[in-house]
Amino acid sequence: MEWMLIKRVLVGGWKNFARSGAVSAATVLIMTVTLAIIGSLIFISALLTYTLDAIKDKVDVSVYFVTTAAEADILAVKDRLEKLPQVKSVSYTSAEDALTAFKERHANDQLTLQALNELGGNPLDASLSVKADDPGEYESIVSFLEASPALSAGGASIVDRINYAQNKEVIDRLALAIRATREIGFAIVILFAIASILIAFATVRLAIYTAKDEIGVMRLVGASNMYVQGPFIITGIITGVVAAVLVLFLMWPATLYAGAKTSGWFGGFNLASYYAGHFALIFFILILSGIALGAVASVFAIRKYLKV
Amino acid sequence: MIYFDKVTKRYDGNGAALEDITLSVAPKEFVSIVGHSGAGKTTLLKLLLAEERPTDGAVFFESINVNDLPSSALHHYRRRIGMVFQDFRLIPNKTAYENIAFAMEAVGRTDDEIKSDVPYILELVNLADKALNVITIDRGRLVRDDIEGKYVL
Repeated sequence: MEWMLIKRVLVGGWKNFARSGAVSAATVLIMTVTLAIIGSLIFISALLTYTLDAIKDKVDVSVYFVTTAAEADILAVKDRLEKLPQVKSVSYTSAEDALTAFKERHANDQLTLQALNELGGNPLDASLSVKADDPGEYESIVSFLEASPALSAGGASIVDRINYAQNKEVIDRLALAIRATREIGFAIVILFAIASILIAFATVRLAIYTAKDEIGVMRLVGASNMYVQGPFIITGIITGVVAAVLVLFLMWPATLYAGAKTSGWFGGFNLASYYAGHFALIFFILILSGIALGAVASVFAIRKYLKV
Repeated sequence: MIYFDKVTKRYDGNGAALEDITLSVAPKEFVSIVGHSGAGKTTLLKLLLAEERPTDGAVFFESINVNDLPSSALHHYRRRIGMVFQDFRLIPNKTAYENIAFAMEAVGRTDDEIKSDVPYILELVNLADKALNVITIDRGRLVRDDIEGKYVL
């Protein structure tokens, strides 16, 4: 008997959807817009993460060593830093490499090169460039270096300077910007989700209103709440799934077009490539959102008619 | 047995539709209730069906106090009462067959029972050839279809 009830609910839901014609089409259209907004937010979130990662990659802390520091001692510091969990990578630039790079940067500046020659020797320091997983971690890395200073065999510190202080303000602002952007982004998502549910609810309620006579008779002849409510929830779910499939279908040409036009704007982030590479995830999110939106909107929309 | 025990029903902002009514209907008894428009006939039936709740007093159906029934038990109670609605309550976008079958499905009758009973009832009232016709607004025909639906239930 339970299977009979489930079958009738499923068939009833499908029939409601198929027979409602223009009302079903309007509901699908509204949900398509809603899910398209959710889909856009997925791309915006991915773009934001990509852009912020690119910016984070440009920020680092440089540790400069005295000219008398032995390479073995510098590499020992590198090794200690790499063991820290908050450190993403450490790259070593020897004094010779620094000099070569300096000469290349100033190849057209003869005055500077002449001054360098007159100084004689290599005035540049060897350095370690430290990148952290999160900009907020740089302070702890600097504290680590200051707490356990690198010493030469003679007991003198081999660290000349750490440029964290100069970059601190930039790093702090970046960390704040990242946190604020994520929080604002999350708030926007919640706001759009609530607006989406309200719009879908109003549309589904209109669709259910056209069946209010049917619902009234069902209640008065003794239909259970599940029998009354079930088909409309199934209709809501079908509407949500159809809308999700429509959005997925429309996203392909949209991302192809937009991706070609905008890939140069965002440092190489291509919308079409992201869509193709993350299709399973986007499909999963949109289908689930469509089902949830349709079901929740239907449950709230029909509650009023269950009170008889 | 149906028993109304000092039942009063007032609607918001209006006078009493029913005032201190006490009546009983014994099993297998046939009762006609007549009265002018606004006398409370429809309200009486709505209270019996639990479509409305009494302002005062109690309604009993076979010793069940209808007031005390929770919402979750109402549908079981209503399956025990056959009602011919004043406004027919037929569904315009369904055929005659579907209107009768619809009520049977709502109360949980099996597909086999529906397939067996509905054609029989349509045949009984000479509407077998109209089974697949969508319900029209002919009041005479509507009453007949409404009665058929309740007969089957």
